[in-house]
Amino acid sequence: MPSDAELIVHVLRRCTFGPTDAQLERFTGSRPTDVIDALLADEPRPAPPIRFRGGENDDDFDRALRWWIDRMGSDAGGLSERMVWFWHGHLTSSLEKALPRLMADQIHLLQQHALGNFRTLMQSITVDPAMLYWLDGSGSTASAPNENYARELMELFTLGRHSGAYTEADVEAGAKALAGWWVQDWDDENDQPLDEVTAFFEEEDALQGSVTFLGSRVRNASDVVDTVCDHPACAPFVAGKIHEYFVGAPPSQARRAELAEVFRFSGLEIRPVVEAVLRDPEFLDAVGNRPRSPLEWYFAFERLVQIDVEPWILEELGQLPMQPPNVAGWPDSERWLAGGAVITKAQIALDYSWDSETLGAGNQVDEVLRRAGLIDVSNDTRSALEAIASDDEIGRRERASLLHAAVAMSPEFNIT
Amino acid sequence: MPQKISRRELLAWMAAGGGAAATGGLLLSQQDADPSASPTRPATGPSTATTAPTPTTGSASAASAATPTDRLLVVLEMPGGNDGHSMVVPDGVPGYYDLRPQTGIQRADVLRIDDRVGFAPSLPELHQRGATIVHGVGSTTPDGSHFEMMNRWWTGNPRLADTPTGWVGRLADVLDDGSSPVTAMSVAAGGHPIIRSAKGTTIALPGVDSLWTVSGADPGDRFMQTYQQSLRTMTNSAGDTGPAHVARATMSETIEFADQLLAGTDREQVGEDPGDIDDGGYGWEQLGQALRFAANTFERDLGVRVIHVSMTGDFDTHEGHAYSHPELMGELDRALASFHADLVGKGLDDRVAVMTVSEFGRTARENGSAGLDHGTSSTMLLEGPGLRANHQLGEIPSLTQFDDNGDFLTTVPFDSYLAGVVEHWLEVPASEVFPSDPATLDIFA
Repeated sequence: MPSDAELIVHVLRRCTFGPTDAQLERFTGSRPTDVIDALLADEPRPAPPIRFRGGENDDDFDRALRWWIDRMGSDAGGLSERMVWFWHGHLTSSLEKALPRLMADQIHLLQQHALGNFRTLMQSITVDPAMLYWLDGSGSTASAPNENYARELMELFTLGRHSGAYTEADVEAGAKALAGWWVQDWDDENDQPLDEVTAFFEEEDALQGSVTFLGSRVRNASDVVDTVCDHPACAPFVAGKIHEYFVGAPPSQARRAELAEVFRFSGLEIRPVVEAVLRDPEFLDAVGNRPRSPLEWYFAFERLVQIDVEPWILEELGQLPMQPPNVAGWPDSERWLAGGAVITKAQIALDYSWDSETLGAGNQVDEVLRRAGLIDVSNDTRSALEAIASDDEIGRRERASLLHAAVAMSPEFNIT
Repeated sequence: MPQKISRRELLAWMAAGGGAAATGGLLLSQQDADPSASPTRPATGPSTATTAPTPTTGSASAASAATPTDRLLVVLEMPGGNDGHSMVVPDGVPGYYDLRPQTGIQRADVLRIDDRVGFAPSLPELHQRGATIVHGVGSTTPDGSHFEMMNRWWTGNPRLADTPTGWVGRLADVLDDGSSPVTAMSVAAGGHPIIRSAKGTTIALPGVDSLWTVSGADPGDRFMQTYQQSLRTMTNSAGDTGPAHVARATMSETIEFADQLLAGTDREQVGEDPGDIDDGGYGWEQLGQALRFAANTFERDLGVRVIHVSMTGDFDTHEGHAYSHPELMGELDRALASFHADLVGKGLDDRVAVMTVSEFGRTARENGSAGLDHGTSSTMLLEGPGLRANHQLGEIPSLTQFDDNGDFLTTVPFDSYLAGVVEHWLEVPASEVFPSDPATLDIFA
């Protein structure tokens, strides 16, 4: 039975990218439900957007990556940033087809809607430049529409493949109604890239009249988005994904239906669904029930060694922000424990541990476990760490380095 | 000494409902493997599992000394879309030079196979050893998206929908006899969709060098000895149950596999001069070193039957094709030659077949940047025991009649090609690995 301290750590790990020292201090002596209350109530300081000027530069992505990682790892982001990461993995777009500045703009869009209204989020992202490039919406004309977005909108974003909710005819019809949008990223007059990239609508490329889509008449992108949001399969599908994100497993059919009701009743507001998920006993029961994702491992590892860790290691670990492997988002979580991941982490752990913050004079095993945010570990893990701590044949710095590296490799550190 | 539970036993225990609430999340891999999507044995009729397949003409069993269970396979991926006609050049087929004014290869440079086709000039070793050529391999419903087509090739499913496993992963699951933790491997850093399996019989490892982090530390290197010992201590027992144990079991199996792979081998001496490191006769190109790892792994005889390697060179030659493609072919030629020589030296050449894969070919016509855009069908190569040298299968797609997009037609569906290797070389019935249950290409015909 997890202690309150363990539950608080669990809540912070699942609801933010912490726990940070500031969070732990803030919530010392609280009950786990207090922490949930507080995180739900927090209004995050608005995330300042990142600006790019003067054409494409090689270091644009590096800047965008650090901007986002800094935000996620800070105390300012809270539950909202956790939801931004969810939306990024659900409503995917990628650097594969969209420049860093466009991806950064899309993340900023997600930051504004993460806990807001789902319909508004879907309306906005449907005509977001990065999304228009990623799923080939830009330049899709009603006479020869590209079906990519219409399909993924239903299959992956709102209704689900298994729902039986849509047919190929709907994909075709949806694509026609969505047509007419273009990304404006070039300043024709001065023949150079635009600093502010926007999307614009070209009437002559758009559908004239209306088509039948999911049983309704639709004329344009806004109608298409409204229709999918109103579809009975949408609320359970999206609410179920939110449950799975926080709890680590899909909900039961009954639970999914309950959450769908919450979602619909609120007018498709996201926050009430998140609240319902977090307040359900299943959430606090989910301690340690899934692998840590590379992003979670990265933040926890950085806190462990207490030095800056290069965010580019996320590429080696298979989870580089803004570059999900495909339109379905991040792979299933068991992949994070795969053999190659073990090997990769074993090296990263060694590389950074050498420069880790010096341990104090007290019990070094306890200290390094505290830095790792681990309260309860198995006898095997503890034995391994104690064997290192008591090894007289290696130097003090070597011992400290190995303690950090070993705990980063421990099974407990790799699940959450 | 507590008994270790293997990861597979643990997954089976969890699938049976053990520790359901606490470990629910980690059942995802089982839940996602939708039984209706994965191939199953027929409910009625004789099981094909132990029945010997009907011998076909020119089958490997006649030509190769290796029994079916000794046979090994390398799946060599050329990501980005390899232009088959720049690899096996149809210079003797009317229409070729019309399509490729800038990227066409001069007749005098082509390494002749017959009066219609020959190998690219950068493939002399392959030309000399001889390979079986498969023309026109692609999708009958082509798609121009890398993601879509790679996913189809990796899953081995033309319709793609709902295939959470890769074809090499499913093949590994079928070949697995429980005697080894790993039946198929991908030489890759972080897992690869092609080896995703339901039973956990596959592993992705970046290369042998990286394994030295977790295994085989020098006896004099106290630091690394201590590190590696700590990893073993932490993954030692089956004491607790629950999700941390899956992490523990996976790490334990990885380390155990690394131990087996490295046992008895010497770590390359790293001297002052980087040239001191032994390249194993492969040179230092990426594909060569990946195939070196494959050869060494096969030699260890650990139960690994299939190894997937992917070239890091980019075949997506939208521009400057005439410069890039020969470089890629050169690397391919050298790597395969070194691999073959190594297999001969290790006495493995009668057991290993190599097959190439690539998600699509290129456009029939060049674009305005002396390049080729995403196409449809491409040419594949096979090399191994019983495979006839410079023999051609399939048909060269027409160079004058194209599909509605002006691309080459497909004459061999890609799942038939994959299934043909699985069924005729490894003698695993295609239906056990491929959901589309395709007609198999007889690679020994």
